[in-house]
Amino acid sequence: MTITGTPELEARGLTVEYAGGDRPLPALRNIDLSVAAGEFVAVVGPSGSGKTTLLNAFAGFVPPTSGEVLFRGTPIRAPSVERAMVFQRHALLPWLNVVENVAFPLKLRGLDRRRRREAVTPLLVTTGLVDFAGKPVWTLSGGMQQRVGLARALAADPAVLLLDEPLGALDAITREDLQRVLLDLWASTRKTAVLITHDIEEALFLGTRVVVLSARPGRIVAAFESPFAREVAAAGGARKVRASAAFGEAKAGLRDILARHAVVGAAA
Amino acid sequence: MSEAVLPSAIAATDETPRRRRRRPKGGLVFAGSLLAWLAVWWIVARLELVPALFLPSPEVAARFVAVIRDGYADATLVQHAAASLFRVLAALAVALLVAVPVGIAMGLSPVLRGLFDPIIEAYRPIPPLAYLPLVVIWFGIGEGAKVLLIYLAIVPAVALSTASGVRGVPVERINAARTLGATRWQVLRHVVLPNALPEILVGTRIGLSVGWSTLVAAELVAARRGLGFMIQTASNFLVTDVVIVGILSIAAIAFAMEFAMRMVEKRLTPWKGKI
Repeated sequence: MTITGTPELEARGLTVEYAGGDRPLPALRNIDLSVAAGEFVAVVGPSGSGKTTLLNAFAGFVPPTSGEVLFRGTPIRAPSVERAMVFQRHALLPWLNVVENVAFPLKLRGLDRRRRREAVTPLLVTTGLVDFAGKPVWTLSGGMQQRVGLARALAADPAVLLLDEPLGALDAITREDLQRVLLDLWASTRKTAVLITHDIEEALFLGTRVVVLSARPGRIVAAFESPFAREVAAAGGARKVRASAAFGEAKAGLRDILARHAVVGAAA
Repeated sequence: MSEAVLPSAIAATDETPRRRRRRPKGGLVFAGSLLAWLAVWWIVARLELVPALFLPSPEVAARFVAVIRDGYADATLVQHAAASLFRVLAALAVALLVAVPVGIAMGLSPVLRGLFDPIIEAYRPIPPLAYLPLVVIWFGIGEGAKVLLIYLAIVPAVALSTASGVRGVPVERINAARTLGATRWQVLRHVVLPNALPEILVGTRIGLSVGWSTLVAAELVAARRGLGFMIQTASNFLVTDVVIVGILSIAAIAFAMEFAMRMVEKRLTPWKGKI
């Protein structure tokens, strides 16, 4: 896919270092990455490769040590509702029920209870939460809680979804369910998305483009288009795609790349 | 896109019920233990192993009725209890008004924590009885000084709990709200404060029990009513059964309040520790 015009998100020569004991701790080194509107970029890498730092830089939580992060060509300086983030856990508000959690961004905008509830009803339907609207979120399973997290981010109607391993704590079956939910939401809303994951299969299944980071400090060691998300979005058949030979080969290839870069100091 | 809406079957299996069955065991042991101690008391008193001056028999219950009906030291038991209850509750109310904002400030700002921490930490371990003379010298012997002493005992518990609750908000919860459009004020109002509520309630509960344990000291000087005053008066005249009536009354009221606070916690923050 060719990128025309200003990308939604862009990192230019992005380096991030954290203050360490006696010397700074490098997390990301010289990252160049641009994300076009409607793309779903999946970032994979070993633990401690700075994946989350990259996402935090896009969100505006972490400033670049050098280089730049841009949203639609403008430097990112603070968090914005244009870039809603979904976390792995602890991000919901347990004192609110499901519908009030989902409608939270609308409450922040000052919509009254009745109007915000009406506004999020379609989202509750598409995320399979409509029967749970009145339940306290802490009574839900992990998978249902992540649906609430996704629906809430979409209720903010952001330009970009930043997904910080949202499915990382779920069991395999729930995870596949939610990958499907995520893919359907992406396909129907055409939101730009950046997903951080350590799961190879998830990256290939959800990402229209897969970006591989090396071990700390994270550098981009590979980036390639992945056709599977668009195939499933267009024709369905998630299970068939996952079982296909092409998917298997892509998995083996990606695993190879990761294995070569998983260790600190491994050859680039 | 035909699968955009998940079949309800999937949605249904996705939810695991987490209700736990109530276990009455703890309550039974509690009641059993209480009865056993009463029995020991009764036997020791009945066999007159200890003179009644030191330990009256549990038939002090009769004395209870007498104190309720006729009163002791110019007031009935209910009047004494009401005076004490008013002092503790007034002190708690003022303490909450002061200590919750102070705790929030301490939790949010390291500078303000540095400002308040030394004051609170310095006087917190001192027994109220030790600074009672100062309170009397500075603030006199009126009702205000009594409430003040109890208030001083409650403040640290509430302030420190509140501060720890504010500091304990998961960073994901705050960051998520910020990317959903929350301003700093909205993060405080809609994320940090509700998140600190469980610890504020715990601080209140601890504060109440500290308040009751300060009561006798507070009623030491120039009180004319109050359970602490009643106990001291009875003690001066070696009326041990009235002393015990006073002690048991304080215990009963403090216990009832503790229980009520636990119910309030369950009702307001059922999610505590769950997510």
